[in-house]
Amino acid sequence: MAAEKTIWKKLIWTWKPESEFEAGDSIVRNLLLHWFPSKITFRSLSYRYSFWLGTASAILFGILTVTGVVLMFLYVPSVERAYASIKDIEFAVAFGWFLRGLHRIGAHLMVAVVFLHAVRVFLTGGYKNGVAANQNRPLNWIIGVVLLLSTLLLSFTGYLLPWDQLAFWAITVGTNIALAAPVVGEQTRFLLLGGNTIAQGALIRFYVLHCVFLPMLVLLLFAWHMWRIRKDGGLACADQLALDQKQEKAPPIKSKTYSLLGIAGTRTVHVEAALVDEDRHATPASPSLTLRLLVVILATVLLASLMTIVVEAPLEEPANPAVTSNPAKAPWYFLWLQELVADTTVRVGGLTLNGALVGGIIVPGILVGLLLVWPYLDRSSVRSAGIWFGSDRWRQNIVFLIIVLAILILTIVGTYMRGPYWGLYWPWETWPDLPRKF
Amino acid sequence: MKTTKPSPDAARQPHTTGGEGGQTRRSFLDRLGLGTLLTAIAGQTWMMVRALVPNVLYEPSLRFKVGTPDRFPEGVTFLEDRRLFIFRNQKMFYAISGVCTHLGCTVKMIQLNQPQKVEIRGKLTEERWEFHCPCHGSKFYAEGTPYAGPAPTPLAWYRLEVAADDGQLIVNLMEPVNQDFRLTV
Amino acid sequence: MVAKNRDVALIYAFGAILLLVTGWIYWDYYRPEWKTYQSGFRGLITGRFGAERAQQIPSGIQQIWVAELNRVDRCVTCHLGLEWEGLEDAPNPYRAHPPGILRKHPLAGYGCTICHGGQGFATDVESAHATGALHWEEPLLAGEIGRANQVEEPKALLQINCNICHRYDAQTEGADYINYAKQIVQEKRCVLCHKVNGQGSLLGPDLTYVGEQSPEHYDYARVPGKQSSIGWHLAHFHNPKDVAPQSLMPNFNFGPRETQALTMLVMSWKRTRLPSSYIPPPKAAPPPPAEAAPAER
Repeated sequence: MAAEKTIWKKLIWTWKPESEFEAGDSIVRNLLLHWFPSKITFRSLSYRYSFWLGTASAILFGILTVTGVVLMFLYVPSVERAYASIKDIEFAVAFGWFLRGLHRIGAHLMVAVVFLHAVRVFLTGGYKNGVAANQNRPLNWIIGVVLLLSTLLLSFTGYLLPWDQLAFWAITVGTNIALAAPVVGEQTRFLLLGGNTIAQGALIRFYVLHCVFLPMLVLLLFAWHMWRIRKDGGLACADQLALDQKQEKAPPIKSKTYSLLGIAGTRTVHVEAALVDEDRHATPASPSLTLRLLVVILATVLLASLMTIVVEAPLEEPANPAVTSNPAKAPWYFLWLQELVADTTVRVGGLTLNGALVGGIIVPGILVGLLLVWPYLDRSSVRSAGIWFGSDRWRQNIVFLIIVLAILILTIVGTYMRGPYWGLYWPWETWPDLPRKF
Repeated sequence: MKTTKPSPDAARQPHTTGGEGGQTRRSFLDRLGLGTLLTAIAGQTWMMVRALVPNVLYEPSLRFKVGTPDRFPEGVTFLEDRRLFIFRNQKMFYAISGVCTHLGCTVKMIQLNQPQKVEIRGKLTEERWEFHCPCHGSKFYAEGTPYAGPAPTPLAWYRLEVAADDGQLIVNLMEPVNQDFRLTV
Repeated sequence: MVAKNRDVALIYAFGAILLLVTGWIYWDYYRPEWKTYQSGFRGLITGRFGAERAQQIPSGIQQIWVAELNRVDRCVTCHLGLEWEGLEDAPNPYRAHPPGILRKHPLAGYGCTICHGGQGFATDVESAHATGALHWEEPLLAGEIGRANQVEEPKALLQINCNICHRYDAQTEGADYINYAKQIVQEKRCVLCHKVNGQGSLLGPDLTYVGEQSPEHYDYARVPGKQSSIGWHLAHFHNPKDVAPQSLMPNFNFGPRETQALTMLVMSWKRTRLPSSYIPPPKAAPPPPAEAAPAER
């Protein structure tokens, strides 16, 4: 082999596994990949089961971390300089508009993808325990719900940082919802803002939450989330495979001459793998999983980059507490709440129930509470775990879908159909021109 | 415990999809694909590095006006924000930097009680002041030549000009000049 | 094996598209609008003064940073000829600035936008002039904005910004519209009804900082044309009762020149954070402020 070829090989591919054993070993011994299984079922690999939404949200978190670190070098979290530093990023910093845009689009995408991931897990009954021992998928579902909330908070805290009118009034509306919470609302808002108004205290708090505290929290929860997936024997669809196998009453799985980790007779790492016929349903993670992962990474990066180029990142006038922007909207993922807030002020006789309490606290509170306890209320059979629209879960799936649809519709109405003075406009109607200085 | 490694040969899968020609074509396409991917990733990475190289600076200009000549009294004027000594002798002006050539501290001007004769580069001169650096004890004669301490080179002299439009003195920090420089107004 | 090959092919395809996207971003970065203007200026200077002087032209984004005014103006990235002698007749954006006014207001100490308006941060023409751009409140005060609001003399609008610092001058050299307006304020004795700078009566609104009122503050129901603060003031000075039927303000029958002058004056009355060194020293007559002083006392 020519020396030139060896150098090329050395640069790009240092080692190629010679056997399935080595392939498994390469995963387990790798610093970055050791938390993957050494073998993976075809069903877990398929696009159709998971749409790879969880992976995509982790990749988006990676994109956000990398671009965020660069932006941290360029952004100044002070009321005097914040807006100007964003303007500099837009106009003077090399590729600054792209990095900011990618960070912004990445954040929006991450909110959407994490939400869709939760929807997928619910509809496939992915939070249900299957057949393997020591599973605790409900716990992982709860971790997931906390991750969803943390993602929303991460995005929300980042929303204030440009310190323009859009940011200022979105955070005003957003944090005022907290005021409606009984007993703790006012203190929560006071603590979050470091005062009663959105000023320097709020900016630096949001900045630290956004850049340090929440990313650390998400990272820890993410590690826990992944660790639990391994402990639970991978995706719930693998349990379906094991159940199918039992039904087939096929000849028993032939005994292995070696285990996946080279340790025979133990079930320490691979509780689930022993349950399915690996020769028929599984494939070595290297290269099948690694290649698929690379596909998903590239697809996500590509989608985010293309959207960054197409969608312009807005930057309005500098924040001005004296002039409320019209309309003043919360970030889009809270607009269904704002829509609820606007529609749910109830008057019974002389008693007025503030919409912020109903739409901002009670409804989302109930929804989050239900999400948290649902795995423990769901009494459907194990055959509904890890399968799309499991037959004995159809009632809860329909109710869940109706709620999701309602949230989506309210979000769309709030985002695209609410104009100045929160008036209702069809998407094809142009909003009236707002007066300007000149 | 029964652990046997399967022989590498048994599990090795043939990797070819054709004859010798197919293999070279395949490896060429692999190289092209991988090369493209790595170039794209390198391009994305370089963007982030390049973003950290500033395109604009928030720094004071290196060529700046300091006021009309009549603003300066006879003798020395120290411009604190610019760390610059401006000397006036009748109609002659010159500027010496107050930045120590050792590690950049601001030197202090020490007025001597009585004029002192010193030999600088073989020339006997009378001096009335000296520059002493507070950080590491470098000492400079009146025109900036170091005679004690770690400072390696003399204090910088900078070009003075008269602005064509309004007659103000202009200091040009981009143009160091030698110690004979005098601007006559 | 088939799935694996498909994944490899997808990876290469995505890699290729990503390379194209990345390539486009680089192409976009290395071909900004201002580079065209800079090479145009280099051509102009080479043609007029020779290649040697063209070499002195800086390249890259240029900016004037005025720390005292908290402003950074990148206008000079394209408007490269502002201080060049011999470019008084050059086409824009290369024309030299009239030198007289620069002598008192040096570029290094004032920048551009404090007088001319526009978005100093911007590095492309549309965002910088900000005449059409949403989300920038101070457009370039020149012909385009003037014509859009149908004022008598569009170019004079710039004088609004003179009066930010020169508010307390009785007369300001060069600001003829503002001077004229100050004269009208004296003649018509506006302070009989309005309070300005703490003087006058409260029959009408206090006008001390009327120029910084948000545009949404005004009622445009009876204002023809574009909805803007300046448009409201123009219509209102033309005939107050046209705009606000209940108004007590008499119709002074102002012509277009008077209307524009007064509009410009009230638009300039806003709170500004200026270092004291930017406020011109009072001339002969000390305060009370010129426009508020009663004609005789």
